[in-house]
Amino acid sequence: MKPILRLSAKAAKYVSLLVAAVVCVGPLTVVLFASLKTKQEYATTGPLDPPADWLNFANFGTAFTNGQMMRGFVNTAIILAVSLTGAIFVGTLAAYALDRFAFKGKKLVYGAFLLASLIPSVLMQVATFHIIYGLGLFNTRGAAIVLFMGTDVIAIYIFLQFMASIPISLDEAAMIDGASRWTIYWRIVLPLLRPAIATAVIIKGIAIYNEFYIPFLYMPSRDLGVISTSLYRFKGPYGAQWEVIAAGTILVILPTLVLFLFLQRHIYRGLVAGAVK
Amino acid sequence: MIADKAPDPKPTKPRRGPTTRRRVVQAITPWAFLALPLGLLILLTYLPAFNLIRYSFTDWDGIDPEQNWVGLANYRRMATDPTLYRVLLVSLFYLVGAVAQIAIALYFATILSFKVFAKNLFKGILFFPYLINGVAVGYVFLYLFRKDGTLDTTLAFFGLQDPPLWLGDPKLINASLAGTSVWRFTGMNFVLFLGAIQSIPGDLYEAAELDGANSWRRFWHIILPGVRRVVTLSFILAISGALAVFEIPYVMTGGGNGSKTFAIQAVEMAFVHRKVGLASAMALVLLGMVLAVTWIQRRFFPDERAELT
Amino acid sequence: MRIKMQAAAAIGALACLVLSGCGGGASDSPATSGGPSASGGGDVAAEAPAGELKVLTHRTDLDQDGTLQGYADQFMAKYPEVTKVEFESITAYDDDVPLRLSTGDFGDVLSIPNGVTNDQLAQFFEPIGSKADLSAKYRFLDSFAVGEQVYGLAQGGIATGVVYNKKVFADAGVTTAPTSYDDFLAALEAVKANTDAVPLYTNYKDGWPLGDLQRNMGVAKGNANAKNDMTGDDAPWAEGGDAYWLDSLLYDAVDRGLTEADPTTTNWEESKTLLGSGQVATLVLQSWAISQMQTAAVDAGASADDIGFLPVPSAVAGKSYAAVLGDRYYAVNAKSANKVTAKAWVEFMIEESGYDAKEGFVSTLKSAPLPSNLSALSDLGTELFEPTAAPAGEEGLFDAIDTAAEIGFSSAPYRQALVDKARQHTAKADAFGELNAKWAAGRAAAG
Repeated sequence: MKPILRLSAKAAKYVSLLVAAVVCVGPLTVVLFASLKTKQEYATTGPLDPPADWLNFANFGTAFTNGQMMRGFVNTAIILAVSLTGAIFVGTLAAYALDRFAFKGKKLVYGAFLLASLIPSVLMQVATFHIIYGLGLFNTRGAAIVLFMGTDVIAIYIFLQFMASIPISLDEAAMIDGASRWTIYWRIVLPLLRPAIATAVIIKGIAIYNEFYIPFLYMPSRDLGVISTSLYRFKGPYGAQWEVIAAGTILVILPTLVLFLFLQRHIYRGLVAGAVK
Repeated sequence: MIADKAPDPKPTKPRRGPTTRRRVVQAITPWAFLALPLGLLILLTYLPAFNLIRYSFTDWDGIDPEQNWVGLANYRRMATDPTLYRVLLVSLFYLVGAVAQIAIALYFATILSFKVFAKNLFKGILFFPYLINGVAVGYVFLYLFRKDGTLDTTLAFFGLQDPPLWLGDPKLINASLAGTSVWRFTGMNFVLFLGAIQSIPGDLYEAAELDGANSWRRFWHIILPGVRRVVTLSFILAISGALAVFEIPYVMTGGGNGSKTFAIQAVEMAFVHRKVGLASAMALVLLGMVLAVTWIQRRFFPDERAELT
Repeated sequence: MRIKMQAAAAIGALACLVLSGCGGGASDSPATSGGPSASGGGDVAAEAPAGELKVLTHRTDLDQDGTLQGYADQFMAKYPEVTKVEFESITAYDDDVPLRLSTGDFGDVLSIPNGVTNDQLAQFFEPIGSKADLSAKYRFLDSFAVGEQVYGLAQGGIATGVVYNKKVFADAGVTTAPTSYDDFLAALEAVKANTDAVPLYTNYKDGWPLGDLQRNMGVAKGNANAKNDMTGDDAPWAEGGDAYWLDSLLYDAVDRGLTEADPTTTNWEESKTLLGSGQVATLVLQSWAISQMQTAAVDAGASADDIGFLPVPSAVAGKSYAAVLGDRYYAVNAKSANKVTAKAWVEFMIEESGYDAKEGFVSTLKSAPLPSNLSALSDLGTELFEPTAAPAGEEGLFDAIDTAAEIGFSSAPYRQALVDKARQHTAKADAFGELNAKWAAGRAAAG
C-alpha cells in the first residue's frame, strides 16, 4: 500500500473513532453541564455551553434529598445483595444438576429454561402480578428479590459453561472418599466456580441495578423506591427543572461508571460468556 | 457416580434391596438439586404463562374477580383484525436500526482489534452506554431531542438552522427512537464481536501479513469468517428484539405520535381498554412470532444458538 | 343538582331491587355484596376511630411535600386513639391500583382509580350510605353510586373551563371574553398572529389532561344528560352532537396549528410556568388548576391576576355553560379491618381538613359556599350544572360500550390519537366517522 493511502486510511480510522466517541459521550456530557447550572443560568444558556461554576452541586443536593435517592440506593443495595446471593445459589444448583448427572427429562429441563428466556416478560406481568400477590410479596422488597432470583437463565449458562471445564476426576476422587453429592457441590464445585460467579454477579448486578418495570409495578410504596423508580418519580414534581433532573440522572449513572472503571475486564468477559455459547 | 461421564461400575454384591434403593436415590438426586431452580421457574414463569393462556380464552378485565370463558373469540379477533398488526411496521425501524448497529459494532470491533492509540479508552467509551440505566437513557435522549435541545443546538453550531422536530414529526419519531436504541445497544454487540475477533488464532494474521494481504482482504477472509457465528446470532436476536421492543418508546413517548409498538399496544389493551383476555392473546401471538424466528434460525443455522437476549 | 334530589328519592324504592338484580346479573357478587350494605352507617357512631390507617393517594406531590402528613397530624390530634396514618402515593395511579383491586390490598381508604366500572363498586368498596341520607349534606353523590347505594364521596368538586393568561389575550387584541366556539377559535388565531405565545397547549405527553377533557362532555350545549344520551346514540360524533363538540375544540385547534409545535415533549410542570409567564395563552383544564397556575405565574415573576378562567366555548349563541362535578372520589376498602377510622378519615378530609379550600375545589359539603375562583364564571353569566346520573340499572352501560368499542373515552391514548390525526390534517369528518363506527360497534356488542 502506498504511504499516502496508508496515512489517510489511518486518519479515517481515528476520525471515525473520535466521532463515535463524541456521539457516545456527548449526550452525557451536556446532561452533566446542565446538572451544574443554576436555574437562571440554565434558562439563559444553550445546552452546549459549559457551566459557569463547575463546583455548583446545589442541584445534586436537591435531587438527592427531594428525590429520595438515598433510600433508592439503600433499597437497590438490599435487593442486589439478597437476590444475587439467591440467584447464584439457584443458578449453580441447576447447572450442577444439568452438567453432572444423566437423567430422564434432562433435555426437557434444559428446554424449559431455554424457552423461559424467550418469553417477553413485560407482557406476562398481569399474570405474574397475581402470583406475587398470592405469595404475599406485593409491595415488599421480596417481590423484586424473588423475581430477580427466579427468572435468571443467563447465570445458568455461564455456570454450565464454566463447569464443563472443572474436571470430573475431582468429583470422583471426592466420591471415593465418601463425600455426598451435596458435599461435592458445596465444597468442591462451588468454590471452583468462583470466577464464573464473579462474572454472573457483575452481569446480573448491572441488570438488576437498571431494572425499572419490576420495582415500578410490584413496589409502588415510596419507601420501597429503588434507583430507577426514584429517578422516574422524580420527573413529576421537577418536570420543569431540567437542571435538577439532569443532576438526578447523573447521580444514577455515577455508580455504574465507577464500577465500570474498576471492573472493565470482568464485565467484558462476562458479557461474552453470557451471550454466546 | 458421574453418571453421564463415567460408566456405572457393577455392584460387587448384586443384592436386591440396596440396589433398588441406590437406584431410587440416584434417580432422585438430580431432581433434589433441581428442586429449587425448577420450582422458581415453574412458579414465576410457567405458572403465569399458563394463566396467560387461560386468560386468553376469557373476557377478563383485570379487575373483576370473575372471568367469563369466551372460547376462541380473542384468537378469532387476532386472526381477522389486520389493524392489530399495523403497529408491527414500527418494528421495521428498530430492525433497520439493529442492522446499522451490527454494522457499526463490527466496524469498530475490527478497528479496535488491531493496534490503536488509546485502545482501551475507546473501547470503554463505545461500550459504556450499554450499562446505563434505561430511565436515565430516556431522560438523556429527551433532553437531546427536545426543541432547542442538544441536537438542535449542535446542528445550529454547524450552520444547520430550522431543524425538524425529532420526536414531534411522525415521520421521524420512530427513527429517533430507533437511534436511541442503537446508541444504547451498539456497545453490547461491539464487545461480543471484539471477543470473537480476539479468539481468532494469531497465526492466521501472520500468514496473511506474509502474503501481503491488505486490511480489507484481511477483514474479508479472516475476520468475517471468524465472527460469522456471533454476527448471525446477533441478527436473529435483533429480529426478535425488534418484534418485542417496549422499553425505549414506552419510557420516552408512551407510544404517542405513531411510536406505538406491538408490546405497547398489548399493554394498552390490558390497562386502558381493560381487555386482559385479548391482551393475553396478543402476548401469546407475539411469543409465537418470537419462537418462530428462533425456530427458523435453528433450522437453517443449526450450529448457532440464539439462546439469550 | 336541584332536580336530582327528588329523582333520587323517587327511585329509592326501586334501588334495592336494582341492587339485588345487579348482583344476580354479575353472577359472582353474592360473596362480596349483600352483607355490608345494611349495617354500614350504624357502626360509625358506635366505635371511635382508632389504630392504624393506610391511605392510597394519587397526590404524589402532596405526599412528597408533607401536606398529607399535616392532615394526618390534625386527624390524629382529633382522634388520639389513631396511632398512625400511612400514605402510599402512586405515580401511575390508574395503571397500578386497578391491578390491586381484586387482591383486596389497596389500603383502608383510597382514591377510586379510573377503570373501575360502577357495577364493580360493590365488590371492592364499602357502602358509605344511602343517597337519601347523604344528600342532605353532600354534593356529587352520583358518580360512584349504584341505585341508592353510595360508594364514593368526592374529594372536592370542580368546574369545567379554560385557564388563560389575560395579558396574552390583551396583547393579541382580544378584549372581550370569548365564550362562543367561534370567538374562542378567533381569539386563538389572534394570539397566533399577534404574539409569540402558543395559543393552546395540549399537554399531550403527560396525557391525563387530554383524558380529563371528557369532563367537558355536554358542556358546549349545556346538556347535563349528554353521557347518558350517548349510550343510545350510534353516531355521537356526528356534526352537532355532544361528543362532536367535545372533541372538535381540540381537533380544530390542532388542525389549524394553534397548539404547541412539538406535542411529544410537553411537560405538565412546565406548562404551568409557560402559562404563568405568558408563553402559552390557554389550557383546557378545570377550576382546580386556577390556584396552581396563579402560583406558577407568581413564581415566574408575573402576577396572579394574569390568570383568568373562561367557560368551555359554547355552541349555543349568547349562552355559556360549565359542568360542576366531583374530582377524584374517596372510597373505603370493603376488606378494610378498620372501616370506622377509614370513614372518619373521609369525613375529616371533606369537612375539616381544608384540603378542598387549598385546592380551590367546590366543597363537597352543600353548606359551603362556592369558591371564589368561580366568580369569573358567574360574572360571565355562565350557567352551572351537574351532570345527570345514569338511569338506574344502566350505571355501567357507558363503560361497557366504551370498553367494547375500544375507544377509551376518558383515556389519554384516545385523544393523543386524535391529535396525531389532526396534525396530519386528516379530515375531521373521517376521524370522527371512525369513532362513530367504533361506538356503534361497541353499542351492538355491549347493548
